[in-house]
Amino acid sequence: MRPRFEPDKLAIGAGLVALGTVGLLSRIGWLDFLTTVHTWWPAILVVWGFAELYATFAERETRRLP
Amino acid sequence: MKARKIFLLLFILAFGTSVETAWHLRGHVRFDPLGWRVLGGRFYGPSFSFEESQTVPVPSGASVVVENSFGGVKLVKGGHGEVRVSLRKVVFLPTEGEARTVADRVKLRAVMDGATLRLSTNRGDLERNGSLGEAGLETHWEVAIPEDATAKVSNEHGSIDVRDVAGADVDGSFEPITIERIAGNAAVKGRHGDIHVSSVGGAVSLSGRHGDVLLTEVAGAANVDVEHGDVRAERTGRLSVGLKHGDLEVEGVRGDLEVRGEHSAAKVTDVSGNARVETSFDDVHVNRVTGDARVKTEHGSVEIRDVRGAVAVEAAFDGVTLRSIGGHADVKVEHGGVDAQGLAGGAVVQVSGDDVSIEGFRGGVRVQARRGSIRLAPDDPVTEPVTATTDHGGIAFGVPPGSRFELSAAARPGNVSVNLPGFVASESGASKVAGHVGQGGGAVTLEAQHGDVTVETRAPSASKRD
Repeated sequence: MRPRFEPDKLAIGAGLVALGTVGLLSRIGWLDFLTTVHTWWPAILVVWGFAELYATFAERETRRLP
Repeated sequence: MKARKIFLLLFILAFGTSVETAWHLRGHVRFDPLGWRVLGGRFYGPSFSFEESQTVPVPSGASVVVENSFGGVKLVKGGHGEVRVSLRKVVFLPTEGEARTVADRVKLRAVMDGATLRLSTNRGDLERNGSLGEAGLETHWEVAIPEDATAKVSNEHGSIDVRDVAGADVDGSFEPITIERIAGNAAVKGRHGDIHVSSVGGAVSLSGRHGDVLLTEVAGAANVDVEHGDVRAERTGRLSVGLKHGDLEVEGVRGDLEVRGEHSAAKVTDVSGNARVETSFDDVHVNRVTGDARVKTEHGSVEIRDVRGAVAVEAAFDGVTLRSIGGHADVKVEHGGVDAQGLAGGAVVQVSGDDVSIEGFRGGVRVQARRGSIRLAPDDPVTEPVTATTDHGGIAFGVPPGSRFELSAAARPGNVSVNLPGFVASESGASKVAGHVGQGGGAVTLEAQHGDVTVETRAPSASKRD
């Protein structure tokens, strides 16, 4: 049986990866941490929302299958 | 929706709020000796400077007027017959292009009006028609003027620095004001900034609020009016100081000194004239005055040393100390004592609530004390009248050898003790003694209520100390 897809865990994981990547790039001087986070932080809500939609449709498909 | 998801949503929103707050505070937070502060306004963030200069011929003895709003103004000695103006425009905007556009709109104005050169910018017009937008604009002046020119500077938010000119009239706020080497008179009005005036050949008129004042080397008279700031004056002519909520330190006045203080300490040294000090809620120290000294204070102690003339003191709620007074001393103290040494011209002392001690005096002395004891110890033989009365305290009178006086001593209730060689008693009781020492001399009257009276010989060298 395939493990169940959980969108909130995807949001947490994606958020941590994004935050860590921005922090790392700002440390090496490629971008400004606060400017980048200030611009892109709502993206985590978008990612999470799409993941929730995907999970809902995927669950319906699973129920329809015999 | 699961509780875990609600919690996650709230967490993300809280994170976003924190990021937004940090973004808005960015560049507006300062950590300095005043602590953490959030700064607002147009004068923070990236800025760009643009220079503009101009040279204007002026007649001899011209007056140069500079009017500025935000930025520093510096006037220095320049060449004869011309004024060289350098204007630095600092524009606070994110990019140099935007800043240059604003700076190009700001024009230097140099207008000759008779013998007066007026320097300003069109900032007021730009603000009225909105041409500055959201930009912060500072205009910093450096003006070189002829040595024989007088300077008049008005600056709303910025430092003022005027040096080596014939005269100065300065009005500034929110930054320090410095005036140095002025040949004639100097008038200074400052708010919310320190004021430093030195080497002025004429008179000084100074008004300050919320800043400290340093005044040095003034040949003429100086009038100082300061609130909420400390004042230090060194080597001035006649000095008059009005001071509220700040401390005063004066050293070297060629002429009379007058101080009117409130909630101010005063420390005065070396006055070659009369010194008159009036203050409250702090201490007064006066040292080395060639004329008379008059001091009035409440809720503060008074210490006066080395005055050649007379001394008059009115004090309350603290004590008075006198040392080496050449003239007559007149002292009134409510709720405080008197400690005096070396009064050469006699004294009249009225005290309540504490003790009186007078050592090494000459001349007649009259002391009246309430709720305090009296100790009198002259250095020289007593021949002048001495009167001491007190209630709720004793009297001790030390008599140097060679004294001549008529004694009347009484203690009700209390005991009178007279131990003097050569004393001839005309009346001798436990609480009253009368008689004389030597022939002639003044009357010595000692009356104590609720205390004892003691009269005994005193070695003259015992009080020869500070």
